[in-house]
Amino acid sequence: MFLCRDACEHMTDEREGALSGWVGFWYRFHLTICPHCRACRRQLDEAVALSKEIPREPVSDKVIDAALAAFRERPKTE
Amino acid sequence: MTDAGGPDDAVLVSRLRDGDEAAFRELVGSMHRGLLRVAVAFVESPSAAEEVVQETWLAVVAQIDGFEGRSSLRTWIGTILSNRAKTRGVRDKRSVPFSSLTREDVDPVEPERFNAGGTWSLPPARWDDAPESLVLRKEAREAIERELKTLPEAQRTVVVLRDLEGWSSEEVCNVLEISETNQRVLLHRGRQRLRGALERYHSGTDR
Repeated sequence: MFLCRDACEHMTDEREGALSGWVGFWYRFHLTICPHCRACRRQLDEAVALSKEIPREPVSDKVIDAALAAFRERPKTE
Repeated sequence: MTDAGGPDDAVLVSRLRDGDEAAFRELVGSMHRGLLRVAVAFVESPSAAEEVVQETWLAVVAQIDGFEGRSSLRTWIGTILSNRAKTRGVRDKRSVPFSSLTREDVDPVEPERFNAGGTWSLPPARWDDAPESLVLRKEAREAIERELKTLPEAQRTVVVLRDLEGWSSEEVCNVLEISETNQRVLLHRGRQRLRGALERYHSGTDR
């Protein structure tokens, strides 16, 4: 029997396309009958979407300038 | 695991070999944070991590003509970085392989929310659909960001690389030298923790 605890453990596998065979079948069946697990999956999707929106600190000019200085000095490919 | 570079990599590498500074600036801008995240997992301090990433860029400049496209450019650069970071970790006596960091990070998420029969005893708190107002969305995002900083090292590294920096699972596995399954477990544990933070935010119990 496929339980809520099992379904929760497979939610990222599903997103990653790593669920197949009977496990995939029972996982999908479980979600059709369990509103709590469906809610959990929606919330997981939202958490991932919000993570992707976290603003990233720009790379400092100091870092870029140091790397660029080395890049300018490299011998050009013929 | 192979993740051969695609046409985008070929164009970028060609521009780099031609000395295109804009291409190099673009590369550093897009990869530096991810590399720093990897380095932090191997070395003893943020400043050591910065140094290792800086050395990596110098190595990339010196070796770009030798890139053969057998992996993605990101994997190639990430592997240069991880090798250097491991060497630095050994030198600084912090020779902890990434795989050992993963062992303590794989406990099930919130086992107390399930009863002995494996069904929910404390189901996820419901809330309306994703917040539409920009202010609420920003607050929810900040709740996620706070939780991200508290994740165990291995989970945080995988979540940051996958969800914030956009690395593929193959790139993460190759650079961190972990299995696909291990990577998915870490990603899942980390994401579930972030989901929990979002749940607390929506239920008003966020710290």
